[in-house]
Amino acid sequence: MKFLIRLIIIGVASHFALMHFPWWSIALCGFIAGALLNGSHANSFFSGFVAVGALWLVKAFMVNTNSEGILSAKIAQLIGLESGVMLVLITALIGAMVGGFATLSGLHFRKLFERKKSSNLYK
Amino acid sequence: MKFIRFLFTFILTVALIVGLNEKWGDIPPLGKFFDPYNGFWANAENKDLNFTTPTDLSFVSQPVSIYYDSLLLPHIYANTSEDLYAAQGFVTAQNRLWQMEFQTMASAGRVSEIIGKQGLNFDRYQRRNGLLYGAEKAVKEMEKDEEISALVNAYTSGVNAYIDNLTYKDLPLEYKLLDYRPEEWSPLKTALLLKYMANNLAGRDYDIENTKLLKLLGKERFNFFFPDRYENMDPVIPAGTEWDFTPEPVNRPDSISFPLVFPEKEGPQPNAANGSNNWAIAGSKTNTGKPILANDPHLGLNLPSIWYVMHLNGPNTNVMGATLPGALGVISGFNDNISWGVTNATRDVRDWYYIEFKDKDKNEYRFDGKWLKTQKVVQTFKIRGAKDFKDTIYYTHHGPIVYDEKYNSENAKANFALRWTALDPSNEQRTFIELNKAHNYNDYVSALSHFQSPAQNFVFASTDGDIALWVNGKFPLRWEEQGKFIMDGRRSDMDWAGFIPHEQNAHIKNPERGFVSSANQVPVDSTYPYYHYDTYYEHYRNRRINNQLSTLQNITIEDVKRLQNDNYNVMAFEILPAMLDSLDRASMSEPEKQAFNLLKNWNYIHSAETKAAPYFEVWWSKMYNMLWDEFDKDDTPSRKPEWPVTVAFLKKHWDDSYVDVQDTEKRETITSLYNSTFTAAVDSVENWKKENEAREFSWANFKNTTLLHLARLQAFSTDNIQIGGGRHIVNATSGRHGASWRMIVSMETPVKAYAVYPGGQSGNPGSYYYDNLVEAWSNGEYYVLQHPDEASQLKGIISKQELSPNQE
Repeated sequence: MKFLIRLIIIGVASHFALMHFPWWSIALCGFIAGALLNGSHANSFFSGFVAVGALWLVKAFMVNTNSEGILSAKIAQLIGLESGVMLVLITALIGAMVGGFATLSGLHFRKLFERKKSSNLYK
Repeated sequence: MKFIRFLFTFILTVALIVGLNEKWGDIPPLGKFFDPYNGFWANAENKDLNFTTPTDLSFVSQPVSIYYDSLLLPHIYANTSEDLYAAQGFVTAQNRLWQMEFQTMASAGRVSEIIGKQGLNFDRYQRRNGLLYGAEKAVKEMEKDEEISALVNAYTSGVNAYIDNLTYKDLPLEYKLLDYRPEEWSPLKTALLLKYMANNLAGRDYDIENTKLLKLLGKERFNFFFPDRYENMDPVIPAGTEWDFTPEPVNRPDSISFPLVFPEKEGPQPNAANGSNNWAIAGSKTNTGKPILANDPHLGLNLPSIWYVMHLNGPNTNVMGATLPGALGVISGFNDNISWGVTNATRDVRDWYYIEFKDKDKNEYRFDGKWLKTQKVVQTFKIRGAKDFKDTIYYTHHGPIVYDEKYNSENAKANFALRWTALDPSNEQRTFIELNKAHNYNDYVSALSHFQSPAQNFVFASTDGDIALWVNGKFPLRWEEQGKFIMDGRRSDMDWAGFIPHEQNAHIKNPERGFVSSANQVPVDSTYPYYHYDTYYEHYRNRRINNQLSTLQNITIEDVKRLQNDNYNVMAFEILPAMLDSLDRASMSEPEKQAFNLLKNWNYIHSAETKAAPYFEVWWSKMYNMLWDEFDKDDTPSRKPEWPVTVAFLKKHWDDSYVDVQDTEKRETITSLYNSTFTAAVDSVENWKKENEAREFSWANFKNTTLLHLARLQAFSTDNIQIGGGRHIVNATSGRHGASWRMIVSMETPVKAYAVYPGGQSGNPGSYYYDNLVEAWSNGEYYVLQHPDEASQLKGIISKQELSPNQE
């Protein structure tokens, strides 16, 4: 459940952040969400990974479709990819990696302030 | 432990972000670039128009309306001249910002700031060649002219209003790819753009080559291979035209000796094939009784296209045509009363002087037995990813020293100064502003009096029924052979004594033959009282055009379209029969027989489909290179005899020693050369067929006409365009070169105009409008240009932008 909540927070926050701030604002979104909501390493990493990855995948896919792939075909050729669809996947992967690691950093940041388990009975 | 774990992931994340935010070699900053909200994806437009109007519109004083029609041609309606040109700057930037800035960076020798070290040699030549120096002088000259200065400032503020409003997301794609940002525009950049064109069109001379060849061959043989004139020349101003002026005196010094030293290498030279066609037909020869004007400038074929088409409507102005992004007004176009077009007036306006310094400090140089002071300027080159580079350039009264021991003259340790009309103060911008609102012949002539460089053949037609053509520019007064070779910079009698007065520039108005035309051929016949020199005068397109225009009567727009797209190869007609006759048909292989039959039955038309043209082109070029192997012996700058000279040589001088190929033991004859180069040509074409099995064998596929992106990115280019034509053919479309703009104007009232160009109005490779005109261009089709004085009469408007100064 926390996985899903964190994922949605990161996705929605990143979407709005990117409309006003540079691309690395996705890392801030992941970091903050990772720090706020506890979870295992894998749980945190993958929530950021999937959230930003899916956001970038959907956005790139929509742009690609709306523009009938004119530009993506050219960029794909420029960097030696087979097709515009591959380009959508690479886009998603780049966002996903940054999202994943940022969220994981956030979790580790949170852990710096966690007291020892014994004195943390109510958690 | 927790801290180390945090630190590790945190540093990893930061490193990832920093790494993806940086450019690595040719790889753009991946995170920034792939961000689907702000990166390259934001430039994917197709048919959408992502125009955003800035909130600060204080650069216009009154409302300006911009209408884009279905080809994305902007129609700008403004109430003041300043607003009109401010809007021109704004609209041009909105559609072509990267290109307009990149061209001025190239002109200023600042490419290494963008691409790094590999641009340095180019940049150094640009500065030494004096483009920045000339542009700085031109800005001062423009500032003296209050009217022009106000308009240039308005244009500048329009461009900057666009640039200031740009976020990363809105940047043209190339900025994101190369990871840099546009600078503020300035009048200097407009001047740099004009110098960029001057260098493209008047930046090539052969003085260094001539000097080397004079040394190698001696005077007699040099003149034999490189005569100033050849047979059957058909000049721009028809032979026999009378000159009704008293020429200025020109005194040839008694003793002339050229210092036979030269630099070992040249800087990056512009393409010598830059040329054009234009003509105007009198009403007496057209079906409407009104003149028709046509123009097609031939330049390197690039994307974004060199031209941007606009309609500008303001006080006393209703003009439309091709503009150069970065310069004000229309360059080749028409208004309600006149039309005009340009071709390059090829004439040598660049001379070189051998300089002798007093000592190695280079503070003084010898001139008429005295020592004159040099001016020393240290130029700094910023280089992306490397330390600044400094280059010292010395200026003499001739001009900058381009070649010295620091640049391409290492062995000779000699110094060569450049004297070039393009580096003199001038105000070409005034010519275009005046032409844009000219009413008649007198206005046109007065506009041309401000135009110095690059010299152009300005063709003219008016609704009054006049046609005219001026060979226009600033031309030095020259004694015979002055400036053909590197000259002695120590003697004042080697300097230019002055310039041909403007009214004595060769021109013609309403000639009896009913048309005027130019195609980069020799400007005048030998009766013109001034010495003029150039190399590689056109000798084929001009004769074809004049022949067609003389024959045709009752000429229609369709006839003129056909002539602009004419693929007849005059040169093949003159040489191919002799080439075929000398072949030994008995010993031909099967492919050779096929090639022979194709050529034998060919009509000399370089259509897109013909299979004969590839054989002829390859055969001729192999023959030409084999015949003139003597001129390729080392790496120093060289040239070969021109085509008309070669054709005459092949017909008349079959026993000349140069027929023999030096690298072979046997003694070649012209017949044996024809036979061996024919075999080699057929081989080479057969190889092409094997390597291109997927493609049909045709002239268009073989020559592979390509529109290359300005940054040479294959992915943003368009290749294999199905179009005929070739070099020295009226449709001058070769592989990378050709008609960059085709315009036909009928001077009826109202004026009717048709045009097309290889490219599209948008500079964005992600837009449908980037290259949407290419197909019509290759098919020889045209679009009707609408230019109503009232915006309400515009048809097919797809977008409207209102620039209103009160808007908040």
